[in-house]
Amino acid sequence: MIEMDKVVKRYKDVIALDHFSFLAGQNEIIGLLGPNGCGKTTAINCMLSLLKFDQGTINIFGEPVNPNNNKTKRRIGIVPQELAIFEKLNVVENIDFYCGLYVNDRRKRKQLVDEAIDFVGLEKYRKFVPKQLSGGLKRRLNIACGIAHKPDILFLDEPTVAVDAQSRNFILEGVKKMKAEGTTVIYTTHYLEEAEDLCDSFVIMDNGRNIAQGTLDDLQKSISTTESITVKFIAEDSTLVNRLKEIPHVNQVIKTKDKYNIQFEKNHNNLSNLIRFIDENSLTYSEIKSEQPSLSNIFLELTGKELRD
Amino acid sequence: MTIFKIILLHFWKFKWLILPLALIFFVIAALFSTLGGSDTFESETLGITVVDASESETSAALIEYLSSKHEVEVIDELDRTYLEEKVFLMEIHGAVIIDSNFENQVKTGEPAVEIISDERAAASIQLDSEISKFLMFANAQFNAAGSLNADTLQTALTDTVDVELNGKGTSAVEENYTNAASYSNFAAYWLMLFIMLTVGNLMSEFNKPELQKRMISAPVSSTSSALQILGAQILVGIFSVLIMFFGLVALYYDRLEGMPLAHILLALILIMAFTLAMQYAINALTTNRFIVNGLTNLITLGLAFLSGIFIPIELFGSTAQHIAEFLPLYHYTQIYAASDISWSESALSISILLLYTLAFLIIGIIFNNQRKSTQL
Repeated sequence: MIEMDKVVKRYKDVIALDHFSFLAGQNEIIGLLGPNGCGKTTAINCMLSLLKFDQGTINIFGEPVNPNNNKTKRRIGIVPQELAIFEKLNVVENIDFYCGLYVNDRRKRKQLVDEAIDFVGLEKYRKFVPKQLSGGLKRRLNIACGIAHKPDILFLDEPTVAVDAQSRNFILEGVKKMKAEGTTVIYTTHYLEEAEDLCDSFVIMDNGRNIAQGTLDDLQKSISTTESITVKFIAEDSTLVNRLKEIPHVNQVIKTKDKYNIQFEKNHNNLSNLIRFIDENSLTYSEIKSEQPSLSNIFLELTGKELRD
Repeated sequence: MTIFKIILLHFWKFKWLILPLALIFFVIAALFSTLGGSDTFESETLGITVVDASESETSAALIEYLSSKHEVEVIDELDRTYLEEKVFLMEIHGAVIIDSNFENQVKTGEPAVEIISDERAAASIQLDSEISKFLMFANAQFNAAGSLNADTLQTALTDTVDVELNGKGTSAVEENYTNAASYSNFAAYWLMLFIMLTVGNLMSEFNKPELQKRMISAPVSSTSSALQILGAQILVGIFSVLIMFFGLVALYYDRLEGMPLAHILLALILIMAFTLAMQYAINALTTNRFIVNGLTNLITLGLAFLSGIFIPIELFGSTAQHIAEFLPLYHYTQIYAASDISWSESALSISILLLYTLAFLIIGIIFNNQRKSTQL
């Protein structure tokens, strides 16, 4: 559905997109992840034909993007990170306006607006203006304005920022429901746990480049680090951290409140080595757990920084 | 037509700002209509205390003259504080202190009496003018006859003649024109204020980058979007012009003779177009609502004062008058500068207003393109 091939976008001397390539298939949720300033918004703006790019090609639904291609635009929805709603219009009027930019038929539009209101759970607030809504409800209204015309591709930019837990769950469930109805969702977020739970595949961006793309499994396989094992010892002493570091192939030992997180190089029978160490040192433990690297670990490994950097 | 409709809906949301604004305008205009036109003055009976230290024939004549119209109390002893207190407490309108050398002072034309009164009150002016009148006549009689004849003086002071003004019809036309001109001057200020406040606030929200991002990514061409915005603004502008114009007709429905109505209508339309163009340029520069509102007040009040909308421009110095000639609102007033003004006489001012509108449109387009290129 979306094919970006070696797209270059420069702002004077700064390269915002550096031969960025990206593929999105039908009916999937793709997490577009990267630190601030990595080029996510530029990539989205290029796909939405809000920005001209210097090199490369972008095809959506098999057609090159073009600001005048209304046929393609009609099938795309956008939910920007900032609240893009009118302060003076109420919930129904706001959704009706944005839906009206895509759907001319009044009767059909009314039905779509009602469905969008149901979808985001704003039935009780139909006549409320934004200033009467909480932050979470405003976010839901912002989403309803972007999805009312039932787009085939939806760009969701940080939809859960500054949102209470109830609204966040509502939004995430809604995104899953949209996918189930056949929509492709391009989802950007700073919350990696949220992305891990929601997205089918991920694109990790840094410095305007696509440094990794695939499912969580693909990404886990692609990185060189770490096998992480967490142990909760019954008895411990102050030298334990240094002694654990002497086990072969240990990169790092992190002591949390009552647990030790030991990070090994991959593919070295690490669990056996650890158990042997415990036996030799007559240590006792209540819990031992081997973990796959999380999206956060993968991100750190690939970009060398935390997502919020 | 979605954008067109939403702009109109937004204007409707401003109804609680528009209605009081319009109401205030028409109340002021109606007050001008009722109060304006005829200046009348009626003398009233005053309470006066006279201290006569002269006790001469002339002072007696003055007291008699004052007593013929007012309630006069004559006292012998002068207590200035007591008299000032009585005036302050409004027990009397004024006190007249006649000096012992009164008669000689009247003869020589020197200041002859002291008046204690509240200078802020109209009664003070009335008392001053009546005593001045007496002193002038008495002085004239002394100079002409060498002595004062109290009867002749009283007759001269109370004599009246009937006066009939000629050319009453011409004066009514002029008065109608003055009313229409005052109304139209103020209407321009109101129109500018209304359009700049509503359009300014509406467009500052409409031009927010996040809203624009959504609208630009929608399947509506930028030309169609611009035309819909312009169409809605012009519709509201024309509607306001018609309210102002028919407000004038309704207020002065029986005094329309001498009003250059066609010129006034065109002037209102042109000032509306100019204001829209200027607001377009301002909104292209900023989407900050506080700046927009600040500029609105600064521009409308500044232009109105400098162009003679509130105060006749003739009262300003020559430099200010020269500056005013470069302002659009001045040319707005010149379109209907006389009751019998012809189109050829208005042509220059019409052209200048049109050029101003065009200039601001071009500035707006340039700034708008720059803003869009930086936004995206």
